[in-house]
Amino acid sequence: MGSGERYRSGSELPLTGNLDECREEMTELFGETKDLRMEDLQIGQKQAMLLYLLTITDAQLLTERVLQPIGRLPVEQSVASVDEFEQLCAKMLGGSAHVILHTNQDAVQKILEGFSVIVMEGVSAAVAIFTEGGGKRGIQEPTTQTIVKGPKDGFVEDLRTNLSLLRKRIRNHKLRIETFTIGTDTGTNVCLIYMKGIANEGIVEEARKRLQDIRTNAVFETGNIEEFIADKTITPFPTVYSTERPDAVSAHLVSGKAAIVVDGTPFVITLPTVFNDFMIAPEDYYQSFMMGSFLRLIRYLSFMFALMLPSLYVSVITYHHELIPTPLLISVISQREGVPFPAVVEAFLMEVTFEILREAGVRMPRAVGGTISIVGGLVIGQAAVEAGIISNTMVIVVALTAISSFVAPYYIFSISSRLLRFGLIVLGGVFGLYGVFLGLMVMVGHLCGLRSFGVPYLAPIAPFIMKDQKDIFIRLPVWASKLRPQMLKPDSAVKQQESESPSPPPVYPSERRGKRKSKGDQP
Amino acid sequence: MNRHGILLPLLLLSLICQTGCWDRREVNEVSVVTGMAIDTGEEMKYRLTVEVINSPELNQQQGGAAAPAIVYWREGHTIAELAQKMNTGLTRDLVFSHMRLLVISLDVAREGLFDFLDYLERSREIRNDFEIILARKGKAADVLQITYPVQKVPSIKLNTQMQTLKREWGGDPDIRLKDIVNSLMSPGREPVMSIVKIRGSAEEGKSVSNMEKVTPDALVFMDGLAIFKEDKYVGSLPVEAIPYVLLADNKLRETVISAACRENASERFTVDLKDTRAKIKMAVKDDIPQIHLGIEVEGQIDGTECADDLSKKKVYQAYESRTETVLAQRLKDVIVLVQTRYGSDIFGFGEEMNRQQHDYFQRVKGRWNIQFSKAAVSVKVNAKLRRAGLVTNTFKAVEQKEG
Repeated sequence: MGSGERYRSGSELPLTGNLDECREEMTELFGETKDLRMEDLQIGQKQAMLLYLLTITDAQLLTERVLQPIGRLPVEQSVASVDEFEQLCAKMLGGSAHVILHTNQDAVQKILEGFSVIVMEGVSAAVAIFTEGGGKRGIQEPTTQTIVKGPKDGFVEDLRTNLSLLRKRIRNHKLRIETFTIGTDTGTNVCLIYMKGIANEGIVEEARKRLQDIRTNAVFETGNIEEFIADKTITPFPTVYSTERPDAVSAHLVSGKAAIVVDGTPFVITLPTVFNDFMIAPEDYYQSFMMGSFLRLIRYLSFMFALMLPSLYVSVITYHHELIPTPLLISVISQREGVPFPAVVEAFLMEVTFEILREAGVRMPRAVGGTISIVGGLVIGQAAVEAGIISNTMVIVVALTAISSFVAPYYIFSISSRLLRFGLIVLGGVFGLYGVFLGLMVMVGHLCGLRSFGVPYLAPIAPFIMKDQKDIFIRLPVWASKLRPQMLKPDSAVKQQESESPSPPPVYPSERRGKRKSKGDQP
Repeated sequence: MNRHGILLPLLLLSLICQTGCWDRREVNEVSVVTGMAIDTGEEMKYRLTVEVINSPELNQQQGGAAAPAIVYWREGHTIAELAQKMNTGLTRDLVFSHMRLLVISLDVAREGLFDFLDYLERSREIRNDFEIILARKGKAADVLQITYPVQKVPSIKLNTQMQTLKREWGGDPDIRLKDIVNSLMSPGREPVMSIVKIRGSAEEGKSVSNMEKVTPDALVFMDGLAIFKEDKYVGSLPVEAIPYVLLADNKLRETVISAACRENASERFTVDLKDTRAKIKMAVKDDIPQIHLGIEVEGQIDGTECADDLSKKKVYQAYESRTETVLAQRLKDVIVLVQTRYGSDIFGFGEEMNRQQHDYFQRVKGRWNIQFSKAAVSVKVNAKLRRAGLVTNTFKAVEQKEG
C-alpha cells in the first residue's frame, strides 16, 4: 500500500490499552467536532471504546458488523493479550472487512476513512471495521459522453462504486488496483489501475512514481492530479484522457493503458494518451465498422473546421479574392456591403460572442436555460446581421465552427481548437493564408514534440507504426486487428491470435441432407 | 527547450519582415471586374472599358431593379496604364482576378494584339484563362453593356453562353488568353477567336428595361470565327464552320449535322455526333505537305424525314456512309476555304507536322503558312451510328410497311 505525502495525525506511539489516555488524545486531535463519536462498550469482561465519525458511517452497517457480533459474545469472554484480541476479532468480525491497528496514527487514519475503531482496555491494539456510509449518487448515464448504442452506466463520485464498475467489466486476475493517499489536507484516496502483464511495466512504474511524487494539499478531481502527472509541457492539448465511461476505461486498460481513479469525482483518467484517442468514441466499436470509420473521418474533418474555418475565411476574404469562385465572391461581397468592420475584427467579435454565450450556457442555472438561446441566437445573431454589423456569411462560418467543435467525442479536447482558433484568426488577418499555414506548421511541430508518459503524442502517425494503422483513421473490423496498440509497447502484444470472420458454409447442411434423403426415398 | 523558447518568437518576429502579404483588401472595399473591352481611342491609342459588378444588385434578397454592373471607359496610350487609372471614375479598388471576358473591337484586332497581350499576361492579378472575343460592328464596349435577364452581368452571360455552345454544338473555340499566346508563339498555328454581334439596338439594350422583355431589345449572339495571321485580324468564317475547324484540330466534343437521305434527295436526316476523334497524319511529297485526316465519329440519329426502315442494318449503313460523305465534304470545304482565302493555319497542322515530320517543318517553319495553303488535304471519315432515340421507325415508315 503506497502512501503519498500526508499530514499524519496522532502520535507514532503504539496504542497502550488505556482508554482514558486514548480518549484524551482523540479529543485533543479532533477537538470539539460534533460528529466524532466515542462510545463506551462492554465486550465480555472488558471495557472498550467504539470510535467513529457519525457523518460518514452507515448506521445499519455499524449495527450489523459491530454491535450485533459484540452482543452475541459470551459474557465471560475476556481478552488479555494482542494475540487473543486478534483471535477474537477474527472470530467475531470474520467476513466483514477489518484491520488490526497498533498505533494511534493508524486509528485516526481509519476513522477518517469511515471505519469504526474499537479500542479495548488493556490491549495494545485496536480493530477497525469498514462501516463507511454517507451520501452517494446512484449510477447514472454519463452526462458528458452520451452514446446511442452501448452501455449506459457512468462513473459516480464514490471510489468503491467506480472500482466495482471496472472489476465487473474486466473479470481477470491480472487487474491490479493500487491505492495512494494524496493531499495533505484532504487525504484523498487515489487508485492506480492497470493490467499486469499487458500494460507496459515501465509506463506503470512511471505513473506510480509520479503519483507518489505529488506534493499537494488537496485533490478534488482528476484534473488536480492531471496537472501534476502530465509531462512537463505547456500545451493546449490534453495529454491524459479523462472520461466518465467505465467501458472506455476498461477498453483502455485491456489495450495496455493505466487508469487513475480519484475518490470524489466521476472522471477517471487513462494514460498514456495520444492525439488519436480523442477522435475515437466508444460507440465506434459498438456499431458497424463502416459507420465507425466514417464517423471518425467526420471527426477529423470537424476538428479541422473548428480549428481553421474562421481563419481561412478571414484570410481568403482579406487577401485571396482570386481563390473564391466568382458567383460565391459576388454573393459574399453583396452580403458584406456596408459591414463596418474588417473581416478579422468581425470574426473576432463573433467568436468572442460565441465563447461568452457558451460559457454562460454552461454556468448558468438550468432554470434560465431558454433565455440564453433567445438572447444569444435571436437577439445577438439575427439582430447583428439585420443591423448590418455582421455579415451573414460570417454567422454561417461561426456557427459551423461552433458546431464542429462539439463533434469531438471528448469534450475537453475542443479546448485546444478553441484556443488555437483565435491565434489562427489573427495570423490569417495579418498574413493571409501564409500566416494560417505557418501557424499550422508551428502547431504540428509542437504536437510532434509532445509526449505522454514517454509515448509520442502523434503516434502511430508520427512516428509511423504500420501495425497500428488498422484502428486510426478508419476502424477495420474487430477480427482484423490482432494486436494491441504497439505504440504503447504492451507487455503482451497479441490480443487475439486466431480471429477471423466466419464465412458461410457452402450449402446449409440440414437442407442438403434433407433433399438427398427425399430423393433417395422416392424409388 | 530553452533554445526553442528563444528561437520560436524570433522566427515569428521575422515573419513581419515578409511584406508579401500586406496587400490587405477587404472584399467590400473592392470592385470585381468581370469584363474588359478594348476599342481604338479617338484621341489616344486605346479606349479601355471595364465592367465592374454592382454586387448588392445581385444579392438574392436585396436585388432589385438597378443595373447589375457598372461600366466605365477612359482613353490612354497603353492598357496597362489605363487599368490603373480606372479609379478616375470608379470608387473602389479594382480586382481583376475574376475577369471572365475580354472583348476586342475589329479595329484593334486589325492593328494587332501584341501591344496589350503582354500586359495581360504579365499582370499578377489577371488570370490567363478568360475568354477573348471579337466584336463585329460597333464598339467592343457595347457588348459589355447589353443586359440579359438570367445572367444579369453581361460578361458572365457571354461566358456561360460560350461554354454551353461549345459543349452542346461545338460552336465556340473556347479561346482563352493562354491559347492566343500559345498560337502566337507557335510557328505552326495561328490564332482564332469567336466573333459576337449585337442583334437589335445597342442603345436600347444598355438599359435595365432590356431585362424585362420576352424578346430583349438587344442580344449578343455568336456570329463566326475570326482568323488571324500573326497577331492581326485577316478575315472570318461563318459560325457554321466552327465545329469543322474544331474537328480538324481534334477539339470537337459534340455537334449535329444533317444530310440528305440519298444523294439529291430533298428529305434529310439529322445525326447527333457524340464522340468525335481526328487522327492527323502528315506526309511530304515533292516539298508539298500531305495532310491526311482520319475522322472517327460515333453518333445517334436525332431525326429523319425519310421513310426508311430503321430496323434494317442496311439502312443504318447507308446513313453512315451518307454521314461520312457529307462530313468529309464539309470539312474539306472549310479547310480549303481557309487555305485559299486566308492562307493562315488556324488548325494547328504545323504543330502536327513539327511532331511527325520534324526535319521538313524545321526547314519550312518561316514560310509555313505558304506551305499550308499549298497542302493537299485528304479526309477520310468513319462514322458509326449507334442508336436512334426512343422509337425505331418513324410513323411514316410504319405506315408504308403496313399499307
